[in-house]
Amino acid sequence: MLYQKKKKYMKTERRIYVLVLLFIIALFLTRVYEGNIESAENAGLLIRLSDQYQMGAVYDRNGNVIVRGTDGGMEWAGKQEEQEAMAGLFGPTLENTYASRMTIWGMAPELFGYNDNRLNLKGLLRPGEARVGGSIELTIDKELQTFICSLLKQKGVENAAVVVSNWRTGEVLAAVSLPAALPGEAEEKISSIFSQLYSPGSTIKIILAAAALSIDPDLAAFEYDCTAENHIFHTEKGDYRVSCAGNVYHGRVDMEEAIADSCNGYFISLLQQLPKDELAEELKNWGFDTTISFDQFSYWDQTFSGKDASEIEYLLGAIGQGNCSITPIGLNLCTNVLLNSGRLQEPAVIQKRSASPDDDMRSCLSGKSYEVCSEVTADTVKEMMLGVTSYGTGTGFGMNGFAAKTGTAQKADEEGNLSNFYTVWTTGGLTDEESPYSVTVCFDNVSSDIRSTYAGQVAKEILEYMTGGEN
Amino acid sequence: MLLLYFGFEAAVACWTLRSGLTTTAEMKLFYLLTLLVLLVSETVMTFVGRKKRNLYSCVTAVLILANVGASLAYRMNQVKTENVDEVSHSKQYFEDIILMLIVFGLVYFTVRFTRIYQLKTVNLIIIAALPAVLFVTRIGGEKSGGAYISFFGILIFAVVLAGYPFAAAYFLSREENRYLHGGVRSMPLNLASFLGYTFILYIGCVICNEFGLLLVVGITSTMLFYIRSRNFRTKLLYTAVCGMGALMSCIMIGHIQERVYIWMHLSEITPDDPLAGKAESVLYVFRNLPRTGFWGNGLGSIPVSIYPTLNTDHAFAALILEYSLVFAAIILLISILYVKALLAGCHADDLYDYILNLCCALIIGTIILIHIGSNLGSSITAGVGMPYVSEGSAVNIMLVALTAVHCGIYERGRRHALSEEKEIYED
Amino acid sequence: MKTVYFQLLAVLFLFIIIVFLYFYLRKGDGEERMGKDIWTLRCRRTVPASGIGLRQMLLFRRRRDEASLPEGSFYLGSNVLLDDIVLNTRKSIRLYLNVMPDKVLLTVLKGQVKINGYIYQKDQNRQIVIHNYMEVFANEARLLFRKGR
Repeated sequence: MLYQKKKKYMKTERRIYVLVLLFIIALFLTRVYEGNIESAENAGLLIRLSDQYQMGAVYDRNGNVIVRGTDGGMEWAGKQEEQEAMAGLFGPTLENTYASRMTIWGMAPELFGYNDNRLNLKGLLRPGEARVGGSIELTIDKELQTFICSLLKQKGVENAAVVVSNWRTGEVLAAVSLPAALPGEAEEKISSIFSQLYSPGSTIKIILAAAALSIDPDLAAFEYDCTAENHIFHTEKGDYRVSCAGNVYHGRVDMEEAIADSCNGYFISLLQQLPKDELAEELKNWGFDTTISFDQFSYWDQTFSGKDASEIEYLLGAIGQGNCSITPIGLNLCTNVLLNSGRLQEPAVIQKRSASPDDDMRSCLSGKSYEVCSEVTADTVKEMMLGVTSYGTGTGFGMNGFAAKTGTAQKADEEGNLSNFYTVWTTGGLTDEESPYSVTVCFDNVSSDIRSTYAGQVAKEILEYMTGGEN
Repeated sequence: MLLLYFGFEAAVACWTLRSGLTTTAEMKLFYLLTLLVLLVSETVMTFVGRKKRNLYSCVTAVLILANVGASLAYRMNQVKTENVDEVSHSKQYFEDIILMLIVFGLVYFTVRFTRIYQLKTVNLIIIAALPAVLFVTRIGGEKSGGAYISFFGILIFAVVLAGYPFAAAYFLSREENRYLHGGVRSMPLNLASFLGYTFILYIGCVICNEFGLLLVVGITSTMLFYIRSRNFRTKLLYTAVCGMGALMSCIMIGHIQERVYIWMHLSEITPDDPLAGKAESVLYVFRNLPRTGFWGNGLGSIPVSIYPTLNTDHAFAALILEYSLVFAAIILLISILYVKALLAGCHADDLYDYILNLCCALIIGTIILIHIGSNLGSSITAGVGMPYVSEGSAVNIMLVALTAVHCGIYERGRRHALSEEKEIYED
Repeated sequence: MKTVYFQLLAVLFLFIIIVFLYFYLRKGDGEERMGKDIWTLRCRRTVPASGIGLRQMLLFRRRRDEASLPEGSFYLGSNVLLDDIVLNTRKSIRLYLNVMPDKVLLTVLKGQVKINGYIYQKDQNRQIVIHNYMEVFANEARLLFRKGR
């Protein structure tokens, strides 16, 4: 008739406790296996990982070992000249650069186990397994890199930077900077390809031309009378004379002729035609006076005139002097835009990665591209660049289908006065779709007897090497 | 079992000492002394606790956790360098262990063999003291990290939680003489007094900015209320009020809002997020777990800059990342067994003992849950340590005292149950 | 010996300890009691039971006519789900028992009871004092309250 239930609060509490704990653990496991809690690579973390992990291996685009991690260090493959050619690109150690993304070490955190995943059956069954980082395959061609390094040394150039890339795919095929250093040498520094800003000289004119045509396509027909009187430019602070190279007067020139002959007066005059704000916005598309960073690497921001530039500095920007500065890789990417019908393919230094030694190498070329200017604009300027090597300043290193632009910038000394040293450039590439190579050569701190055509010669030799002399 | 314990202790000791940590001979000595004391305690307990299963299980669990705590304290030792002074956590932990053992013994024997703690005067003193401690701390204490947490050098977290079970047991075991609205369907006055008292403690916690304490007191008092309240409507009303209170605190109090946001959007927090810095301590586990794997990175691998409170609030994260996920999971199981032992069916002599025992178990269980939830990102972060694994003299002593209370009540009840059975049998 | 071996040993020992403690603790798990039983409630039928229903079979197979009450409050009634002490009567009834060391306070929440010849209807504000050896008639049940076990 009577039934007394036994209240078991303690048992109920235990059950609730276990349920809540299970919920906590389930939520945790769900978040772990969702796997999307990521962060940008953290320099401090990478440096710590480099102590915990044995570095993986780095291969070039053809599968040749460049450097491999060993217990306690790393071992460079190849002869001394190969090591010299490559070491500069890798740069100093992670600790010295704080994992800068201008060095291969900073671009490839998987080398130090960043993407290692040991939460699997293998990780569970092998508790004491040594920690070894993943491997990467660069887009760099080791042989090409070595060839360019030797070539530059043969030419007797001390300070140089050369970038070779595929303008259709965005792959960087070579990035050589001198002075070279062997791995482990005290004077290691980040490659000047990414970290050194130089005045571009007249190479800026092709970019300025593209920007001008993007604002007003009719400016292709803009003409300028290159005479002595017209080289005096009026500014608020007074008149300023800018001559063409060698004090030569080109007579009446249009844009094509101006690019071919590298007429300074034309471009300063063109600059004065363009609304300043619109030009500034247009140049941002080209990476000037803004911050650009790509998935795989970053480089120093390039400047056209900069903030608070005086009128003279602004005008000098038209001829790649004054505040105007750019890195070799930056100029190479701008050249690629012109060769690739106005589109920039996402540049890449690494083509394949693996998270750990047991993982397969996976392609990391994103295939992304960005529209920088219209196809018509780019093709127009490209045609003009062909004129440079056909009948302009580049006839000395002319090659079939080689569209290029030369540039010479006078350097300033420590007090800001013009010195007798120059930065000379040649930038351009083959327009042939079968050989879509672009090359940017920069010689820095050279005397006046080293002209931009010298850089052009080097560019031509590189392209001949790559095409087997077919062009 | 003693052999197993010895094997475990020896293995952890070798593991810790061979981990390549830089320490002095003195630190090693204190670490080994701590292990010796723990081993002696376990040996004593093996003989003393032969028939006292619950007591033995509780104490063994505590000793195992203390072993891990000693290892973590050793890991945290800092040798003197140019930039930092020498800090010997091993020495501090050794002193804590001695104190803990003394307190355990004293409290256990007091509860087991006397009923001093049930005296009305004693309980009223405790009831008056707890809010006073909170308010005095707020008025006269020093601010530390945005909160007033110390009462004359002792954490208020430990002081309040040490006295709260007695206060709760006193209120909840009072006779149910009167009701709020007259009828039995409404809340009895003793329960209302309990809630009112807890509310005063809440205010104290809020003004001291000690939200870890508020959380523990809140969860414990809620569970006790649900158990003691017989009216469904009352329970519903209480739930609604608590829910409203929690929601309002989430909206109005800035740092609680941030913690709730971090908890709910953990996977969406990017490095540019303004809360990225505050979420770092939780996100660090997720970001590094794949690399860490099941077997840990090794002791000393986590930089103290990421986890300055590695030996206190983030002890479980240290276990996962440095000791190993497997080891952390097993320590979690030990903790569950510990709570199971505390929540074992208790043959209490009276309602006061029952409530006291339950409250002690709830407090310890809640602390473990909050700590694990915080470290795993499954609950909002709260500055609550892992029992015995985290350092903190006052808190560990408080926990061991509550364990001793449970053991005393359980043992007395068990003995009385045995003698009653014997009487019935003889009858 | 590598550190990892000690790690594995620690994990192994700990795992064995857990398994041991789990079964050790399980065996020693005591019966839960919120205090000593201070009152006994005996129940007898005043009229014979009619028929054997499913409820009768499932819940009241064995005639349990005694309940032990420790200090505290309980619901006594005919609702199998909600009440702490279930009384098998035809009409539904619900009583609130507030058990104290010297007396029991009874409140009628549903139905009616007869104590000492007086009938008490449903009234949540009224607490009827039940002393030792008092009888309460609720429908066809006779409840005897006795102090002690």
